[in-house]
Amino acid sequence: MSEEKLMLKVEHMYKNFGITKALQDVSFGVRQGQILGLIGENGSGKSTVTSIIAALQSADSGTMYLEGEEYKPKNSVEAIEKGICMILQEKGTFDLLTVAKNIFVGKEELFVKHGFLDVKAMNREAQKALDAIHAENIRAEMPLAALNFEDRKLVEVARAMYSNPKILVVDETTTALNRNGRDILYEIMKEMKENDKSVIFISHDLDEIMSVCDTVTILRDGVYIDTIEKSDYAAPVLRKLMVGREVSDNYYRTDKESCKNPEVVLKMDHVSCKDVKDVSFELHKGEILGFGGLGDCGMHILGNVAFGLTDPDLGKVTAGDGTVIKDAHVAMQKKIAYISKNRDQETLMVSCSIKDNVCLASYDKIAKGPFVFKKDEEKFIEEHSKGLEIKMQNTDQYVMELSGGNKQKVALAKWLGFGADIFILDCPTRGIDIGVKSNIYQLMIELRKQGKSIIMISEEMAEVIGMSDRVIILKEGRISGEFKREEGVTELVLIDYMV
Amino acid sequence: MANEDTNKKKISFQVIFPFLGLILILLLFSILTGGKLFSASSLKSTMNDGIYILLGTIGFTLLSAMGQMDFSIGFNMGVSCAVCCLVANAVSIYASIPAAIATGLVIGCVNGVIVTKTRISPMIATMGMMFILQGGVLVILNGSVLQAPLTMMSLYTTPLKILLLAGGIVLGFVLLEKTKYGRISKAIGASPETVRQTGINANKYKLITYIIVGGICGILGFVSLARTGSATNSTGGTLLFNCMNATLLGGVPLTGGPTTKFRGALLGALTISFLVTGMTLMRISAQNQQLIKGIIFLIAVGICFDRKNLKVIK
Amino acid sequence: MKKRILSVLMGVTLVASMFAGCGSSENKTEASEDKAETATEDTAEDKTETTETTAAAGDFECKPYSIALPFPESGLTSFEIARSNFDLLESQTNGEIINAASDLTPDGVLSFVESQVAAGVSGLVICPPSDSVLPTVTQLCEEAGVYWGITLRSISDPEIKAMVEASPYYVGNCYEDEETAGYTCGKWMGDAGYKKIAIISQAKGDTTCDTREVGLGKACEELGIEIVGESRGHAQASDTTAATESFLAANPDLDAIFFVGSACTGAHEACIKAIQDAGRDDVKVVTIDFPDAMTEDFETGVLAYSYAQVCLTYDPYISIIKVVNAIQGTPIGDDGKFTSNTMAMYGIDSVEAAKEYQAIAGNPKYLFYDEEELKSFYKWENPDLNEQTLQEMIDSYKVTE
Repeated sequence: MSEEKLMLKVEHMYKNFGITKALQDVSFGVRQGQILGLIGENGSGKSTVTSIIAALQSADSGTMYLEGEEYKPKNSVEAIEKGICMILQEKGTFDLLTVAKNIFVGKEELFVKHGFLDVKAMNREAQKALDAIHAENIRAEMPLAALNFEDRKLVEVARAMYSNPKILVVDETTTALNRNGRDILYEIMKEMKENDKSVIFISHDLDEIMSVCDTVTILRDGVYIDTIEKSDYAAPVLRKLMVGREVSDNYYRTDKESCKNPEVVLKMDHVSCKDVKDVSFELHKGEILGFGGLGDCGMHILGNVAFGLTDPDLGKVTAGDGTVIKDAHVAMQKKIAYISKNRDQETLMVSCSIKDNVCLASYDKIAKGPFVFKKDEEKFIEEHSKGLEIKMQNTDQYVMELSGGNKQKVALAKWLGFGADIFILDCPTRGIDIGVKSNIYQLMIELRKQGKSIIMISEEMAEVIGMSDRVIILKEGRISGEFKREEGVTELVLIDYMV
Repeated sequence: MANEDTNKKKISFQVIFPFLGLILILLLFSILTGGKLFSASSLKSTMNDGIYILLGTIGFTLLSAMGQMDFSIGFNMGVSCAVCCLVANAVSIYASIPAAIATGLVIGCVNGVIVTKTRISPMIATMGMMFILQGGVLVILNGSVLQAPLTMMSLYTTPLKILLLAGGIVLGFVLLEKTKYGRISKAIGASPETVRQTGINANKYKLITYIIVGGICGILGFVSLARTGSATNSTGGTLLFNCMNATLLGGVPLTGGPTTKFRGALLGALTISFLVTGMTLMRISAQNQQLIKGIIFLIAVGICFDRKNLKVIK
Repeated sequence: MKKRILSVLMGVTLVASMFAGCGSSENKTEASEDKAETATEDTAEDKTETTETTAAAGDFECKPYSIALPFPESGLTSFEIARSNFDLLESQTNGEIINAASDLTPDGVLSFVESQVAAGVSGLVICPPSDSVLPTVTQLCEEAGVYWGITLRSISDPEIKAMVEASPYYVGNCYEDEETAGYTCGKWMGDAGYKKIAIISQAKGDTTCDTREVGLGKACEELGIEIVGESRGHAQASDTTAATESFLAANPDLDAIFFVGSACTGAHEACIKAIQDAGRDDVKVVTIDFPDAMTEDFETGVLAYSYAQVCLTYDPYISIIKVVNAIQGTPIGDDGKFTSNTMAMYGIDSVEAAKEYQAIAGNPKYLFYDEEELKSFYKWENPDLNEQTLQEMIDSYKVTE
């Protein structure tokens, strides 16, 4: 260890987004010639810390050292100059430009001759960069739009590698790549390691992490948990460290009994659709049914299908009275409500006022004939949002100005006002701070008492266990386990069914 | 937080700007023309042109509220005018009114069906329709100008004009600001996916709006025939540009959503109408009129749109 | 809340102004009727006065006036010539001639008349796309007491013709005999031995071109010429290039391309260039209306014949002179009636003739009539002026003067 020099060191880093504490006193280091894996749940701060390293964001406090010298990048250009490159989780390319122009975006001046862009030279150089990462099948002069998603990611890789970085940050890139693409990336990482350079690798795939990385650092809720060397790898231990949070607060349900009402309100019958394979279940009145699994296990699509937004390829979804839920309109007639995981894009209109959002589902109730009067709208909101304690200036405030938790409350107010009996909540507490989380849990308990049914889809095992009458675990689109509340199942057990 | 405050200030300036623009133009021209702007004949001239601009802009705004657009409004008006003229000659001038409106409605309906049933973008679909109609006018008119019976012109009366203007304003306002239809239109503009996930059939609303806009074009086709007594292949040719200009001047975003306000459409239409009259009264030459319109247009777009959040054209 | 109050205020203002506008326009109708009556009386009186004071014609004091013309200045030489001539006319008769913007659509013409009347002009010259706008124009001008004439068109609908010609404010029209023009060119082509021609024209519905095509059709039938292609409504020179290329490609034995109406700036040159590029020196170009670069076009050897009014803007010029006479109280027509005149046209078929013509007409300062000659177009100076004598003067006009 002592003979290996530390390439990058992060010390006491803090970062807040509003109330959310994204990073709290995080410190770790990357050695030369090391591939460091960074793991943690969604929102654990791993993307935040890497984007601070690549200078896409700035930390609130904390210091970084690059090869022993203090490293304070002002912007990503400086970070790249200092040899730190990042391949982003999101798409970071421009569809309308050619591959070559994408690779040299921001660096066009390298190829300017007499005031003109020497496209040929640029293409030649870009092809070299592509060949260097063994992506010869991509031609530099092709428009990016002609490439598939994997190849576009490889273009980003080529762009990052062209600057010959000392540290390469790979953020969830492999999920976007196919086998060939992954191999290319692994090859690059290996080469970097051999050349005494460093890689920070972020992935959800534990197996991948364990096979690729020399060391793994685990973050959880913005806090550094532990660093484990390759020799000490053990999947269960890593998993436990990653997701195994103690249920310290008492904001989940305290009762231990599951719902015993036999009345079925929603039924899914041998449904297959995209990632979902042959799923059947029944939702009972007054029941909270939790769905858990990994991010890509198909549970999010399941919520979509249950609300009639996506037609199942096989099987059908029916309401309690046997009506087939064929579209969202029918679903709403059956008093079903759905809050998407992508709440800001799909359930809310963030550019609209709170009023517009809450009323959207209920104009049939609010309108007098074809007319809608402002005072009726006000009354309606008053009625349905008062229990929710939405923090707002007035109902004309734009939803985009609200915090995540308050947005979620607006989404709930919309469906409460509509008078739904069945709530399909996909990741209802995603990106929400603890205080509002417990509000939402209380509301769910309240709704359950009123005899409403809830399907809760969540990647957070703790809340699924803490809230549900019944938990169904999906693995690769199939139901891999079902547990009743009284069985007192633990996260560790569930994780075995998930992975 | 400070950021939000400045944002709000800017938004309120964007709201005020169209008012200021209109007031400024009215004041400027009434001073420069020595009050001529408000003379009877100049108001009459403004009103006659204003009917097209105002009604067209209202239609255009209904569409842009939901992020849709119709490039074929001008030639829809032309075709409606041509059909109106045929019927006026063949049957009677009174039968020509429903004929014109029906033509407009049918064309609007076809536009609506194309946009909602295929995945062709509104811009492309209606532009295609525009070319079809452009040819259609020539076919209907058999290539030449068609004249209506002279009695046709007796229908173009002041009460009719007032009915159209006042009716258009009242209906447009109520529709966009006071009905479920208006609320949902804006919601479609704000986030089509949200509307879908709220079980609302957005296509139904889009279709209705295309039909309404078609109907407006039909009415304008009739108005043009009643005013000029003739249908030509260039009838309605300037409608689209004027309406788009007015819509943008009024601060109505073409992507739609909650910032679509009826008053924007109204102010924009009034501004354009008075601007044209004012410039003619001032004897500003044709080239300079274009120049001034262009500059005002750019200023309006520059001020009225927060380009970070809104794209003027998708 | 302020916004709402403001918008309500705006609405109220608009509605109020509408009512005000309509209300007072009605009043005005009566008023202007009165005025029309007095105007006709005035004219009559004026006329007697002028005949009495012919000797003292030089002392005639012109009333100030303004006349609007729906052709914005386009930069073409013929428009520059028009401007030079207008300048002279303005200086002699104490007036102002305005090149105003106008769409040549029916709505556009009415908007032009309405807004110019609102701007307070005393005379108008219009170029109506169809006859049916004319009753409204007649009414608007009578209401406002504005004299008006038609340029480049004649009225074909008999009912409308009668209605318009009955108006004391209508001074008459100037027009080209379009059918004869079409026929003449057709005949020239037939005599030159052309058998297959293609035409480039305005979109169907343009009265001028439609009539020319009727004349052309007659000539074709007589002389056995076949029209093998047509292309219309060119908006830019590249349209003409494309049309020419396709004519050439489709017809290996094409004799000529005939421009029925001037399409757009540079159209003739684009056509000639396309023919040269294709190496088809057997194909000639014939045009109605002289190309701006006529001499050069003849020099290429491709342009064979061009037939036109002496100058495109001569016609509106005469129309304006008619309006001026009426405004000054001395309408050219006997008893204050309108006058209708056709414009002479002539053909050019050689480089020499083109050079001769362009030496004169290519000069933006060229005057149709010099200071002295122009005076004979003022009835207060030349009491013998009437429809017939005016026509004689027009017919005897030569560009070589």
